Amino acid sequence: MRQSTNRLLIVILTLGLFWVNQLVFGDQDEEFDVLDVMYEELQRSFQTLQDEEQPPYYVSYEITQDETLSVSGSYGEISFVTDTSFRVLDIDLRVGSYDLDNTHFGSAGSGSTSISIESPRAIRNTLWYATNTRYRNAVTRLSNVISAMQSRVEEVDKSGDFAHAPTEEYRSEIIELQADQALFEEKVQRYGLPFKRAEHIISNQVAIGGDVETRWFVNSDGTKIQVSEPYYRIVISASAKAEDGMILPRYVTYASSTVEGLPEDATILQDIENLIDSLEKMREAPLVDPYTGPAILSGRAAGVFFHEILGHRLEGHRQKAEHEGQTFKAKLGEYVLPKNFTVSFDPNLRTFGSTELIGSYNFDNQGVRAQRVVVVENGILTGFLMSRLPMKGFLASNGHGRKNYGLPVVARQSNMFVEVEDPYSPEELEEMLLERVREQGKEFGLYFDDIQGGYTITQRTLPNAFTVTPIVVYRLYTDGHKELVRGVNLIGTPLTTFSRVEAGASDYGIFNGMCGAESGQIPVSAVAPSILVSQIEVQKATSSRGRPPILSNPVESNSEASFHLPSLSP
Amino acid sequence: MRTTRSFVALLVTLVASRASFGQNEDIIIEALSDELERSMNELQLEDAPKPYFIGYTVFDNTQYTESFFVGTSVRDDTVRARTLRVEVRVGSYELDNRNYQPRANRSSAVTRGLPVTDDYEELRRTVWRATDFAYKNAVQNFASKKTALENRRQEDSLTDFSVEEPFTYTTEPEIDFDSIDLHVVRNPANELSRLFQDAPDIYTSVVVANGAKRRRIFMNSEGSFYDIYEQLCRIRTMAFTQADDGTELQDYSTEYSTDCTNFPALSDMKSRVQEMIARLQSLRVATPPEEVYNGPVMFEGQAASEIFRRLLLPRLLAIRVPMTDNPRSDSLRPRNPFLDKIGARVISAKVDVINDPTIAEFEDRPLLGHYTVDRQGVPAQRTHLIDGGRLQTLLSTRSPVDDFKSSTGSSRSGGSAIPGNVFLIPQDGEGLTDEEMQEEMEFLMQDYGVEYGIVVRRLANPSELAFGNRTSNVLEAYKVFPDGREELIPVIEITGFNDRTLRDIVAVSEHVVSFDTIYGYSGGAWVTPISIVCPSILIEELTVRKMPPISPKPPVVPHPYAEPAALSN
Repeated sequence: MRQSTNRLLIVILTLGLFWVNQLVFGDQDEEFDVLDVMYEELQRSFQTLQDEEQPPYYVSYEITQDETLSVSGSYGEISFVTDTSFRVLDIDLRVGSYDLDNTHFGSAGSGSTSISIESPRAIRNTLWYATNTRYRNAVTRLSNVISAMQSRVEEVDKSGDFAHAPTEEYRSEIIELQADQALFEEKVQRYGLPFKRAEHIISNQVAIGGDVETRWFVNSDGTKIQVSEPYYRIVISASAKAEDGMILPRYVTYASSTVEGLPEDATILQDIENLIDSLEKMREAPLVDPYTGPAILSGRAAGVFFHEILGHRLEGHRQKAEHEGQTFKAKLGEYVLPKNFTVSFDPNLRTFGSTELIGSYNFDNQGVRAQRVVVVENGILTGFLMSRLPMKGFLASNGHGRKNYGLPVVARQSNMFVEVEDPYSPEELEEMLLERVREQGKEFGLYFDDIQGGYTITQRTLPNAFTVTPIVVYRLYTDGHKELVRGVNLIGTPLTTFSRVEAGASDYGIFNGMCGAESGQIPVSAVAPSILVSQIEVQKATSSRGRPPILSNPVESNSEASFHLPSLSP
Repeated sequence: MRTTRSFVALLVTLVASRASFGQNEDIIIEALSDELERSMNELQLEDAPKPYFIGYTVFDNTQYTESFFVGTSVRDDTVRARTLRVEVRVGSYELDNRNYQPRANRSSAVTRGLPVTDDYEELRRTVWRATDFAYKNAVQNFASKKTALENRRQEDSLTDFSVEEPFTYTTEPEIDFDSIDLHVVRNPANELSRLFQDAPDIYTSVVVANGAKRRRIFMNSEGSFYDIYEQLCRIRTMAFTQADDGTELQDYSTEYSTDCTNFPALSDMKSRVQEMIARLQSLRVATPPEEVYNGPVMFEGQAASEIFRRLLLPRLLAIRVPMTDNPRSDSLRPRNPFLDKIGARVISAKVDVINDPTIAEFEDRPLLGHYTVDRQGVPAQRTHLIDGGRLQTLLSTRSPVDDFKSSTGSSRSGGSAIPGNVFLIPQDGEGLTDEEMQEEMEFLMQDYGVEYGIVVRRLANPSELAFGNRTSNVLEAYKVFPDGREELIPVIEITGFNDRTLRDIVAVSEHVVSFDTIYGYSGGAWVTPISIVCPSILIEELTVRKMPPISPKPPVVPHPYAEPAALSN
């Protein structure tokens, strides 16, 4: 794992060579730098407001530009094309002090303002009026915070409301969207065709999108950051319906920072064939009853498992907020995993092997440089993911303050790496599973091969549980044979489940996905080996009782006859 | 009930006639009619009724939206999509699955995305699946509706669906529809937003360009069919500022055209936006009235049309409220009082009200509420709603309400009854000249013992306001003194409107003017425009006073371009 890190850094530098330098914007007869205009206006407002009774002690502006082209369709036909470009402004304006400010009970009302970056006038005019509005709100909110504090008991964590952070200046090249609509449409058509001959596929969608998010960030400490992150993705999803009405979804996704980085057609078409094939098999697979017993989670499944159970519970603000469960807060310095497990987050790594990691970035949404954070070292809990909201014992950000535009920043995950020292081979792990099956007197163990996603509840008002939604699950019998099954969700509570993690293998799986929480949808990655858990619990998945269509497919016979494999030309 | 055979024959004819135009797009009609025929003949669950009605609508949309700020682009969206709406009814015209809101979220009118590429197989496959889904929901809704009715003391005796004659209508675009460039509104919108560069006392603004074109195809199992090409281009200019005491002020100016190739001239639009900027600048420094005014108020031009849009139009619609599983909550829903006022006087006897979507122009100006056939395939028609102030009828769709048992061809956006072009015409001899209107006003001023009268020239349609609703809806009003002097009055509210207000119109002008506005939701590229042709009106007594001060303080930091140093950038 460590060895691969250096190799990956070289890949990042190489990628950088392809990016076009375009720092300065031109509008009619004037040339200007977006960051400089933002910073000048910030300084003007910040200085003028210092004469007010309650002056701001910190202001930041972040402009996010999102350029997107998306094409989607089904069965080889285009159904939707969108071409969008927009820019929005987020302001973090704080009155009071680092110890106590207007965000004490949560960040001030979210909501971003549309902004243009085509002229200094447009930028400054919008910044000016939005700052005025935010300033008024911040003063009112601080006054409410102070009143509320007077009627409450003293808080346990007195670490303050905002952490100091180093001043940064960084300008990455601005990347242009490779918006080749004809190419996207051609691929949507090509990848959709195989579904035409798939008898039991009830729905399918091929979506190809390109997105470049460019952010300009300045703050009153002097930080100026310009970053540009391209993201191209292909999402192919399909579902079949079992005879009992259960809908069976499957999907494959690909992500890359360039169009060229997406897999070749031949690879994708083979994956689609496999997907169709597996759906056909899943229709015939037996339903699983609720079960407890040993299980193996493949690398991808383990990645989501760790993301839900551990990752979300190590987000700094959750250790501080009094409505949160704070599952791991008191476990600092204690074993939470076997001694040979180390878990870290590193937004600086762009790839793992040949796969790009979408949870990468250079600076977070508070202008703090991305940092590697080891949260579990040799099984012992060592740290948390931090934004600029301090917590007792962790007074500085480690570059994990993330958000979608319009929402307040909180600590979020980036690229998670679960590493195992002296791992077993996958075959050895399987053998260990069967041993546990025999020891526990079970008929079989479970093997979670692929998952759709998951969710978890971290607040204390509800049971602190998690759910991982698998889509490919096998029973592994003691005689060594495997049987595909369907209709289960993996459930549990974090501390109990973690205490049952027993061993890891030498294979690694990668999960790239979008993670949703209070600061919006953000891209994250999880890299993990297959793991053996001595006891897991599964419950029945939701099912539909809807009947199959009453009339036969009106075009079934024609499409069967006319189907041919699409050409594989690049 | 019509037989299956007759509609199939009709649709086959239509497909053949469309094919003769040599357009590939006929593939959509073919896929719809083939699945319609098969579904009407064969679609049936065991022990459940067959559909007695199926309707398909295809919207083939291209939409462009871009917003501008001081001559720069803020956001740009272009969307190309086709959608299919399927409506399935089981039971009979007297009692079916519609006009019922089940507790479970189960609609028997289903919307699905359709391929934008003309592939018969995939279009057909989507229509098949959507019809299947809508039919199953219809069967379930019909069963639960019947159960709900059995549990009520009084049965819902209203017919569910009116019987209408089949109607067919097709248009061919006068020019190649694909070649219509929706971006024609881009440059004018940017130019309009540039006007705000020289107005730093207008704190913020946005100009939104919308271009939308679509082909709309409808067919139902009764034999109705239409195939329509339509466009709507719009530029909305919206501005916001604050007076020195913090009072928030906003205004807007909207330009519409149902022919994107023939949009209003830029110079005319610029003058209207400049007038709006000047108006806001004047309002910033004008002094709101301290006194409360009770007396005559004249609504001229656009302000009169807005009064009618708000106070009269919603009551001229017979809208069926779907029943639910809970009779108690149904009984609590408000009832349109005009349902019980047929023959009664509802507005001043001086005015007739006619809804006529069949008229395309008025005094050389296009009317935006013009259409030929409504959403349900019923032809648009002229409806005399109010005669000499007395209510004659209401606008209706195919969902009967009380005595309004047949459609007036008024089903527009969302299937609701919505007006088209509404004409409020003075009865013969009742319209007054401008001078006579002024005399009437002065007479009432004396009667009420007030030193001045109030004239309102612009009233906001609240759904067109872009910057919240804390500002006054009265965008332009004046005190008018007997010597003819006018004095601008800012941030007022007018109260005292009630059921009698429109009956208390004491004078109407002989001259009528048409105004375009929207009915309902204003966002998105497609909205439902209406035109109102109306006279100015004088209302005997209303209350006018300064709006309560709820605005925040003005900005502490001066505008960046109000500073000489910054202006030189």
